[in-house]
Order: sequence, then C-alpha cells, then structure tokens
Amino acid sequence: MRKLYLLIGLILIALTSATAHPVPFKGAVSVMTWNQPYFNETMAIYSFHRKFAFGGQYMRMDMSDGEMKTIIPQLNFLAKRWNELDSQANVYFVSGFGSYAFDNGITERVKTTAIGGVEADWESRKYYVSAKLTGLWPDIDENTYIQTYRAGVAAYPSEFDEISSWLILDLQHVNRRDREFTATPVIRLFYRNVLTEVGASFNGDWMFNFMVHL
Amino acid sequence: MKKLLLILVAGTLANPVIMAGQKVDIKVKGMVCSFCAQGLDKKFKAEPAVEKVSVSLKEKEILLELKDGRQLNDERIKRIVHDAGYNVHSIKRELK
Repeated sequence: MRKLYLLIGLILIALTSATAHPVPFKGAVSVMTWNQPYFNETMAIYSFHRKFAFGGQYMRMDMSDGEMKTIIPQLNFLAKRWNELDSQANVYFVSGFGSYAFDNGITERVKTTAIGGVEADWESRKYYVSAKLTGLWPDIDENTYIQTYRAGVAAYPSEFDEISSWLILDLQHVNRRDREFTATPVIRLFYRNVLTEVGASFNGDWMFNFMVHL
Repeated sequence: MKKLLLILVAGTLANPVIMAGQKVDIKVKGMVCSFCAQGLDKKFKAEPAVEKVSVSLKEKEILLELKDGRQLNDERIKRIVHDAGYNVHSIKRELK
C-alpha cells in the first residue's frame, strides 16, 4: 500500500513543470524565455497578489503538419503551497485566451484559442521535481497537449549570495509532434534574480532558457 | 537639577531599544531557493526601519538589522513574509 501511495505521489509531482514559478512573489515582474529548435516561448508576468499573476505569452512550435503561433494573455493562480522548513511544494493553474495561427506551408489560418494548464513542483535545497500539463483548444485544428516533467539535483547546496548550479533531466511530449518523449539533460545556473539553462537532448537538439525577476 | 539629570539618564538606560538598533532573526518556512528568496530580500530592504538584510538558506533565516530607534513589529514581518509566499516559523530579537 505504501508503494502505491509513493507511486501516486510521484505521478502527481510529475504532473507539473517548472523552470519557474508561474506566480512569483507579490509585486514581482518576471520575464522568461524557453527555446529549442522546434519551440520558442516568451512570457512576461506580474504578480498583483501573492496567489495571482497576470501576463502574456508568445509561443511558436513546429508540429508534424505545420507551424503554430500563439499570443495569449493569461492568468496564473497559485492553488496551494506547502511551506516546510526544508522544502516547498506548489500547485498552480494557468488559463488564458488569445490568438492562434497555424501555417501548414500552403496557407496560414488565424483564429482564437483557449489555453489551460496545471503545474506542480516540489523542491528542497538539493532536489527538485516538477510536472506541467498544458492544453490548447483552438477554434481550428485539433487540440494540442504539452507535457513536461523534470527532476533535478543540486551540484552543491548553495547559499543566497552564491551561484547555484543544478543538473536537470527534462522530459517533454507534444501530442501533435512527438511519438516519444524527448529527454534533455539541462544545466541550470542562477544567481540572485537571474536564471539560465542550457541543454542538449539525446536527439542532438539544443535548449536555452532564461529568466529574470524584476 | 542633578536629580532631573539622573532620572533622564536612568530612563534612557532603562529603554535601550529606543537608543540602540535591534537585530531580528526570522526563521522562514519554505525558503529553499535563492532565486525565489529574492522577494524577501527586496521587500525587507524596502522597509524604512531596516538597515541591513542577510539571508541564510542553510539556516533558513533572515537576519535584519534595524536602524537605531526604529521598530518593525511581528505583524508587519509576518505580512511581508506571507506576501513573498512563505511562512514565519519563529522571530527572535536582540539588541545590536
């Protein structure tokens, strides 16, 4: 029975993402960008409440049958946070509605789409796991579902004024693009309010992510 | 006149908090990442009563040095920590 609970717990934890918390501290502005050869996302958010952040995102993604682009204002909600002395865990929901363009190489169609997502993470000074499930429901085309799972370990327990370095395994799957998960080992470095990640997947694709809290 | 001076001196010595600054040691729950703890550092530095802020992730502590004669009450501290997304575990105070 314990093993079952452990398995359920790990699955729940895996159901999130996280290079960044979707709701940073109240009053913070966060700018972030995730980049791979087939994927670009840039987002800016402002936390107007400790549980809510408002912002906008631009996303571009290569699919098996064309290229998708979205521009979506979104609202992020911190549903639950568990603060312990040695760890923190969170569950977030993301929602939005905006423009959706799809270019199949012959024509480009522009419509609207809704976006929704759930994220969860758990982190200590040494370990980190997260999972994220995002859905796009456009007026045209089939729905897109993006799954991202991450697990990381700190190279050393860093202090507040030190550079922090992590080794992370990133697993990603997009239903309209991938048959299998893409695994990408990532090195994350952050210092104070600036975070950067570089990685290369086992398929040879690069990854570069950047984030700053203002 | 001597008595008056004596009373003033004694009164001042009896209220060292008014003259000297305080150190406030705040133990925080959930503060495991320096990238996320930026909010606490930033918010406490913006407080007029605060002279210096030190963050220790290892000790899960924020150490505040208050300006001489200034105060920052527990409720205000708890509010700042709460708004940054964390919880206060304990608050200890001592004179500088």
